[in-house]
Amino acid sequence: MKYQIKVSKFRKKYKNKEVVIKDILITKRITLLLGKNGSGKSTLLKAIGGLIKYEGSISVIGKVAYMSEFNSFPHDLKLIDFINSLNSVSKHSISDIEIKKLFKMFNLYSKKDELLSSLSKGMKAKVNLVQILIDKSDIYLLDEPINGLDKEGVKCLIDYLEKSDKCFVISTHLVDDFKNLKSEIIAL
Amino acid sequence: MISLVKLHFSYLFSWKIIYISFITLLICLISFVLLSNFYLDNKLLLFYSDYYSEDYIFSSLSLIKIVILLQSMFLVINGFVLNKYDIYLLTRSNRTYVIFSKIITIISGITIFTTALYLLMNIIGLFLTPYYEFQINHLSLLFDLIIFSIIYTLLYVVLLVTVKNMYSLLIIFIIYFISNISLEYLVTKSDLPAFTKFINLTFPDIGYFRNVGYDLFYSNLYYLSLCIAIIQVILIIYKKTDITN
Repeated sequence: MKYQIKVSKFRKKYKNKEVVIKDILITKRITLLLGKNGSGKSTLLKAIGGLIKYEGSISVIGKVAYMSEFNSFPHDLKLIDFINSLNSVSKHSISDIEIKKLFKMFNLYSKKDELLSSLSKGMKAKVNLVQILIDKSDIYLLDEPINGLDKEGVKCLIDYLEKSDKCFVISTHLVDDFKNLKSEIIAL
Repeated sequence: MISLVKLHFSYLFSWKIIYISFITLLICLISFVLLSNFYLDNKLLLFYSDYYSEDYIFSSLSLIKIVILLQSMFLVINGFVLNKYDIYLLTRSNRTYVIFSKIITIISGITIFTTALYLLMNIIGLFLTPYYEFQINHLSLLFDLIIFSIIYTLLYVVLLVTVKNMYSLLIIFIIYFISNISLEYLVTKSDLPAFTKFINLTFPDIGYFRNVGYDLFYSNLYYLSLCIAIIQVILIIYKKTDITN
């Protein structure tokens, strides 16, 4: 595997607690981070994504893209405009055909001209996935990607993960949904 | 960088924001009309032209400053509290570019708004009243207003990225009023107390000074340097801050 993530002596101090994570080496194409609430799954992904400061070291071979568990889309913007604008600032943007393909895969094509604020929670979760998948990266960090998704949405994601040749590090506490996926599991 | 600025524009200046800004401008236009005393007898307005002209500029300027302070406050809240979309951009671009382009976008927005207010004040004065004359030194007032709006916008941003609470912006708003109260009308700059000189270092107001007219307390060059320094501080803080949504 040409892409890898190595985490050692990781510590992140918050106001009232400290997250300490054992040394980890991620080399498989799909890795599931499992752990109870507060175990540091999201913190670790944010740290790998370069969004938070921490103690210890994280070395990453490959370009990473981080998807947050929560969506915070800009108000008053259409879905298609949001995706196109993000695609326009990417160093490696994808074609309109590929965007259309992703929309169809996640059943978002009919919603493309709707305002983001008018979409349901499940649809927003799908948009959150699509916005990260349009970024051409080597490693995708997905924080609780199936939160808010219905069964059909989960199936879309699993299908995508199986067909893709990219690397994914996924934090979840719903391991059953990924039981048929060939992946490495790391318990935190 | 240009594509980032375009993106911020489309995210921060939605049609709703643009419509609301237009309504604000329209309300200001009506206020300028009323402040111009156009309904008084022309002979009276011409006889006391100096008085009415001064009164119009002073009242309009006071309104413009408050509207600018509020508009920039809401633009900053819209950009940093209501629309927390930075997380989507940081995967695609570096932190410095993301925050710098956002600052440029907000500053551009407030500059256009300030210029529009200034033009409305002049248009109403010129076309509705017999006493108002456009003088070339009025252009320096436009520059002062733009600098004033940029400084307060940057002060709002620096406080918001540090404290991360929109109520903290009230502090700057209140300090502006203290600065405003401390600046007396028609005095020479050197006669003002040390406190006024001190507060105007970072919280400037546009006063009316003897032998100078409307002006910022310190030079434009000083305040432009202050803007650059504040932008540097914002970049440093933003680069060190944890980004969460």
